[in-house]
Amino acid sequence: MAMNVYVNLPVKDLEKSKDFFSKLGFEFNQKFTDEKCGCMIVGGDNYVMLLAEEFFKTFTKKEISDATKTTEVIVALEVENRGKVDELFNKAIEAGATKNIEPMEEKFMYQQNFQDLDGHVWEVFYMDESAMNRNQ
Amino acid sequence: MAKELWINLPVKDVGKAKAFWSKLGFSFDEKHGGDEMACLVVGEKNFNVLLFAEDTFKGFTKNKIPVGGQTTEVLFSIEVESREEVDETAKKVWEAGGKIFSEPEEIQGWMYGCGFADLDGHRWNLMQMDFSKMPQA
Repeated sequence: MAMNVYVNLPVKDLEKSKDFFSKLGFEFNQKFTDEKCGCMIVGGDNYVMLLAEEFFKTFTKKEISDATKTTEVIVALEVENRGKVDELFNKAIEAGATKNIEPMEEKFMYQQNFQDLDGHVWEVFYMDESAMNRNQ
Repeated sequence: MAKELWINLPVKDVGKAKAFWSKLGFSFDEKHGGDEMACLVVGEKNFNVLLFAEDTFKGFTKNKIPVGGQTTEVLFSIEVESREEVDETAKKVWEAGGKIFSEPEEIQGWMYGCGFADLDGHRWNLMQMDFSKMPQA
């Protein structure tokens, strides 16, 4: 059965995108990183592959959406507490991200969203699982 | 730093999307499920893909959803263990109403894979990879 999942996102300028995500604190697996592809390590052992647009298209055989105009996916990053939500969000804004919506506060969740340099929407959230479980 | 990665995708019909993925052999985490959302679980690390009804999804992004698979913003690659599994899953995709846009084939001498679009036009790869044959940079 399925072993791993990789999320592939097209980017206009791979170097700029790598720089952007490095400023947010992410590291890249150099074994799978070259001039067409940046293999970003997220959450310990998951990978988000940033692919130069032309390279991305060889896999999808489709035109790429303008992510500033339409959104097909939200890549969500779960962090350990509320403070880290704001911390990561603020780093993203400093590095050139765009604020997408106001912070959202729900019963067991706190989240901030931003759009990266290419317009892809990222959500940073904290989920209080113990509170969620108590209420079930 | 981030401890988990989750993916949120819009779907037209949560029930139909659940039926599609179930036919491919995937399961759902019912703890996070509901009428407007289903939590697809993929892979050995229990990677979560949340399938949201389109209107709910739009509430998170304040942006439009691309029309019916005409353009694509993301590609998901699912790594499987064998070539046979690529072939078998591709057959299930076709039977469940998905569309194969790249037939199973060998890629660059170290991967074997195919590409498919799900009911909503989201694009996925199925890949078997032999890292020992991967060309070194």
